[in-house]
Amino acid sequence: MAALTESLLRAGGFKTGLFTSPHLVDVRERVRINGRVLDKDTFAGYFWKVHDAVSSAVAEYSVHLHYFHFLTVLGFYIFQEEQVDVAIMEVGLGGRLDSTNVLPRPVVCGITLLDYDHVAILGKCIFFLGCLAY
Amino acid sequence: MAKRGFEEATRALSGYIVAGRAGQGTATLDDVGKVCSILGIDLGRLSAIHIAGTKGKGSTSGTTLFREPHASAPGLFVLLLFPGRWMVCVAAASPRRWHLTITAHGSLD
Repeated sequence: MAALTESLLRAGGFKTGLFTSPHLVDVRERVRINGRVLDKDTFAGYFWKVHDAVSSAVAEYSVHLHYFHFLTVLGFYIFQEEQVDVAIMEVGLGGRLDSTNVLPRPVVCGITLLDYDHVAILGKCIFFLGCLAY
Repeated sequence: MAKRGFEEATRALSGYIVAGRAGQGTATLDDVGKVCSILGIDLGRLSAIHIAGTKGKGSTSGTTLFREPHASAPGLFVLLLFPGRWMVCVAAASPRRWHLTITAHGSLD
């Protein structure tokens, strides 16, 4: 759905940012601009900017981001620096605490099929999972 | 200062992995928001489309027709009422389990 939406918007002339997970070969697959991955040097430049910000957050507020949190922030940062018209954000683990939920006002929210997944972390009841997504 | 290229970045990224939590540990949404503000990211200005769900939300459905392989029974339409909110669901039985798809939701006011 995310990839389809991205492709429709790009065909409509928008500059798109696409955030998906997981990656198959290269971590750069997770953050795409106009459907394409960044070159290694550009990606590394953005990576170290965010890494430094995280290091200062650790020192100042004792904040400890984990892998997916870090990548979400990196995605937002890249989308802002690349000045995309629209960002398509796929959730990671899902649920209320998913780090993509820092978005205060998404323009559109889409929910696809809900099923049992990540139950060890999110819980085992499908209605409860539905409420989390809701 | 040590070289800060792409290979070094992927190694540094591994340092964020916490075993057994699918990459999402004890950090909160507040923590994510704090780092965003340190970087000067204005999340309110970003035109974002947010996509959730268990299956079909990501990258694989972009190239292939989405077809649920084992949902067979006719759909059952359920209206769930939360305080001030409504939600329309389609539930379908399959040989293995129930599927629940939220087709629309919104607020009553």
